[in-house]
Order: sequence, then structure tokens, then C-alpha cells
Amino acid sequence: MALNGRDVLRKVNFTVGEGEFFSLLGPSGCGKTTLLKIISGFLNPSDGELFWKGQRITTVPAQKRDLNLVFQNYALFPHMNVFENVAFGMRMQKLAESEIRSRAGVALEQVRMSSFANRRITELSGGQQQRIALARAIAPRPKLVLLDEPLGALDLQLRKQMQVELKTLQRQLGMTFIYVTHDQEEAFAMSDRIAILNQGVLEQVAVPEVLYREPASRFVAQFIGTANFIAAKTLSSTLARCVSSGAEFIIRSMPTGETKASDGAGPGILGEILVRPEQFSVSGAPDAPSDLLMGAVVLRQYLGPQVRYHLQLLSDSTSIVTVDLPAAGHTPLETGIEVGLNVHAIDLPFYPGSLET
Amino acid sequence: MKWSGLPAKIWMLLFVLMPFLWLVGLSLQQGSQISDDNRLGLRQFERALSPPFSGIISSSVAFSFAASLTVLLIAVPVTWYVARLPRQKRKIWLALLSIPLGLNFVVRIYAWFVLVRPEGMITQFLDIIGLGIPLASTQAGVFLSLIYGYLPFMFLPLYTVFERLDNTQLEAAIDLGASAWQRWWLIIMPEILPGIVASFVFVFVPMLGEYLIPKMIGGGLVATLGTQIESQFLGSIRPNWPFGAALSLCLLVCAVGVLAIAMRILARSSNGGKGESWSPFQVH
Repeated sequence: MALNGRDVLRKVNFTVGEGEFFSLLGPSGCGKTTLLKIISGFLNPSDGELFWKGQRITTVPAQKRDLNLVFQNYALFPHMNVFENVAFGMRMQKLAESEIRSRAGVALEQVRMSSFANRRITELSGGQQQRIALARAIAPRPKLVLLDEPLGALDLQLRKQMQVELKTLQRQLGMTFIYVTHDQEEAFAMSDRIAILNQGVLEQVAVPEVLYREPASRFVAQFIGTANFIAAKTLSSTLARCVSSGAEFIIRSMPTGETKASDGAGPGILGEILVRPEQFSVSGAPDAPSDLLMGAVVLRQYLGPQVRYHLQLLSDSTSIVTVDLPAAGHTPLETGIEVGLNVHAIDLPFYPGSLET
Repeated sequence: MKWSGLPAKIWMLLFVLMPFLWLVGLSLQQGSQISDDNRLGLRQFERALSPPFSGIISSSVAFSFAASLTVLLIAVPVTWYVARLPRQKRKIWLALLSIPLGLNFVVRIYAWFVLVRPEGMITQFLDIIGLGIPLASTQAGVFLSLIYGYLPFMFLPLYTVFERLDNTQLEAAIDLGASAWQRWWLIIMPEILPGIVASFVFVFVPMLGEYLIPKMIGGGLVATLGTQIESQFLGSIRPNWPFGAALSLCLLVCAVGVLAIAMRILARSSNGGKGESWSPFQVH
């Protein structure tokens, strides 16, 4: 897909199941909005096809697609009241007035805004407008609802509450939701599956657990949660040795770019091991022979359920690793103290290839 | 804090209230400036509201209304087109459309006058394409000139209205199945109506009092309210200030009347629309 002479989407291929809560996740400029516009019919792809239950709909105009959008800025019609906004789609479909009233009533009930039917749009708060935008999209009962960062303008507390409501509503309705966001936590909180986009390329499509535990690429690993990369060289298909400290890790090679999974299976390949912060443990006695790495505490952040430590590796002073320890269950480590680190997980993802990230 | 309103109040008093009261006082004089009849009465208004002046007032209102409407009908599609151009092209168009606003109105009308004389380019051109209408000293010429003169005043207010139009609202309407026609009448029109009405009033009101164009292009042969008032105050033959004042007040009443109608339209279009009465739900 090219836009203004620039390739914004390449090799993007995925299928969304019926009744699924599917998220398109990626940093700004990754092409997710372009993808959304292609799905909704506001953009024709310069290349590629779009299918709807086996039917090619690439060139079907937006009006004719059985899907509705929830816009980032809500795009409610300010000269109509709440009820008329919700009824608009059904009026366009020329449904009977009684049908329109009952369906709009149901939709308003579903977003818990029944008592606001006669209100003017300008009288509503951001959160309320968001609900009306949702009601307007679901009232005509489309098969698919596309949501373009609909919670972006809300404050954190309201956003968290709306995430629960959106997910619950989607389950109740049984509609397919495609949700566009740059917020990884938001995507994780609601989605059945998530597609990660980066610079117009689809990096991975998977359920949240897989995205976190087995990110298909360095980008996904970094984008989802916090990632520690440790430079290593493979000894065999399941074992790698840390380049700086010589510690050995049990790994699982991940395919990257053009290399296939089997390519990374041999010994002697340079790459990086992914260790999540909570996969580290701190050994009681420093310099114990079982320690894989040694580090000095640089920064301590208290986060409630856990404490996050930033440690500078002794073997490689340019490397800072992030370690999460449960808040209740360890004696606090002072800044400057040197500790031994263990990794209490096996099957760590290994990314062969250049170490420059 | 009390004093903050003072400049506005002084301005109101000096430049609005006092001239207005002076005008009213003048219009109530029975005799013309020259005679010594100092009694007060409504004689000037009686004269203004009877033929031939009543006819001039009503034809001026109709004439200005028709000309303003024509200006609107030209300005809306042009402005719509410009407002939806890519940014760079839009800037050029806007600059070109704003040039006339930087020129003195009298200078502009003089230049135009040259073009609509019998030997002028526009008249010649109309002759060539077979629309040989004499423009100098005719109603048609004045009408055309009013449109030319006031078009620039319509572009900018309309442009700000069109530019503010939220594109995602149109996308939302498309997404919900609205056709181009439905989008125009159900989404765009209610949004721009206040702006259109305001732009119309801003052109109509000054046009009603316009005397330069009828005087120059009409050559004194096309009588409008504006030229009548002007000749009562500044005319070389028997100026009559009290009568001119009465005519001015008639003009003011017309203008205020149009404003009042416009305000009603604006008030109605901004109260949530017709949806209100259809809704079966009640606000608690």
C-alpha cells in the first residue's frame, strides 16, 4: 500500500475471526490508521485485497460495508441530540421509526446512557461522548465495529473502566471488534488477539500471552512490556553463552527477518537473548558460583506490587538490565550494592543476527 | 472592575447613541432645512412611506436581497471548493480572493466602472457572446456591479465556516451509510447554516445602504434608498436633512428587521435541531 508515493504498508496479511476482539497495535506512524481506513473503505489499497466472508470487498465503497467506525475524536453530529446521533445509521438504512426507536433505546441502554437521549452533544463530557459514539456504531447492528483509539482522550481511571466495559459489551453483542491503539496495556486488557505493526510491516499476530513470552522479533519484544537483551553466542540449538560473562542459558531460537527458525539452530551464531524483568532473581550471597551475571544497583523504583531495579552489569558496563522483584519477599537493595543475578526461566527467546538494535 | 466597561460605554455614547438621537430629532422636524418650520411631527415619515419613496424602499430591499442571494450562490460553491483544496493551493486561492479587500472600495468601483461603460471590456464581451445588455445606467448594470463589489466580503466569513467543518463528521456520515445528498443536507447544512446566515446579513445590510455603485454605475438613473439618502444630505438641488434622516431611519429599521430574522434562524438551528420533538425519551 503506497500513500503519497511512500510505502506505508507492506506484506500485511491477517484474518480476523467472527466475534473476535482484535487489536492493531503499533507506534504512531506504523500504518495502523491506514490499515483501518482500508478496512473501513475510506482508502483503496494500491495493492492487495480485502475479503469479507470469502467475498472480495476491496473496492466496495464505505457506505456499503456492513461495519461501523468509532472515531478517535468521536465525530458526533453536534446539531443533533444524543438520540438522533444514535438513530442516524438506522435512518440511513430507512428502518421503520418504531424499529429505530427500540434499537436506539437498546444501544443507549447498552452503553448506560439511556437517560441522556434528549441531551445535546455539547452538554456531554468526553467519556459520555465516547459512549454515544459507541452506541451510534453498534445501533445499526453491524457485523464489525472498528475503533480508532477511542479511549485516547480520556483520563487514566476512566480509560481503565471503559476498557472493561468495552470488552464486556463486545462479548454480549457477539460483534467483531477491530481496535486500533498504540497503547500496549490497553490492547492486552481487551484483545483476544493482537497484530503488531511496525513501519508498515506486520511483525506478529498472536494472543497476548504468546506476544509476551515468545515475541517474534526484537521489535515486538521491546514494544511489549520491558525487555532485557543479553548478547550471546549459541553453543547448540538450545544453549547459548553470554558473550561478556560466559554464563550459559537455555534458549529457543526465534526466526527473524529472512532467516527461518531452523537457520538459527546451529552452534556459533551471535545474537541476543530476551529476559523479562521478572525472570531474574537475585542470589542471596554475592559471587555465588551459580550466579549467571553480576550487577550493581543504579536505580530503585517502588511500583506497588513489585520493585524495579536498574542494574549495571559488571561484565559489560554499557548494559543496564531491568529486574523486577516482588515487593514483599526480598530485602531492599541499596543503590550501589553489587548482587548476583540468576535467570529462573528456561526456553528464553534468542534472536540471531546483528547486535545493533 | 466597574471601570472596565467605561471605554465601551463612552464609545457607545459618542458614536452610536448621540448620533442616533440626533438623527431621530432631525427626522421629527416638520420643515426642510431651509424653511423655518420648527414644529415637530411625523410628516417626514409620512412622506418616506408614501409613493414614490415607499416604492424605492421596497424595491431597494428586494434588489439588495436578490443581489445578496446571488452573491451567496456564487460564493458558497467557490468557497467550498477552496476550503477543501490541499493546504498549499488553498493559500494561493485565499490570497487571490483577499486582494480586493485590500483595495479601496471606491477605487475598485472606479476600475469596474471603466469595464462596464458602453466601450468597456465587459460590455463589449457581452456583445460578442450575444448578450448585448447595456450595463451603464441600468438596473442590470447596478445589479452586476453590486455582486462584483460585495463578493469578496462573502468569501472570508464563509471560508472560516467551511474550514472549521469537521471532516471526520463527514466520514462518520459516510460510514453510517449517508449518500452525498444526505451528507450535504443532514450534516453540512445544519453546521454551516449559522455561518451562511451571518455572511448573508453582513453583505445584505451594507448593500441596502449602498449609494456609490447605484450613483456611479447607475448614473443617477437607478434610484435606491442609498442614493435617495445621499441626495437628501449632499445633493446640490434642495437638500432636505430631516427627510434624509427619516429615510435613514427607515433603512435602519429594514436592517434591524433582517438581523432579527437572522437571529431567529440562528437560535432555532442551534438548539439541538428537530430531533428533540421526535425523541420518545425523557430527561430526568
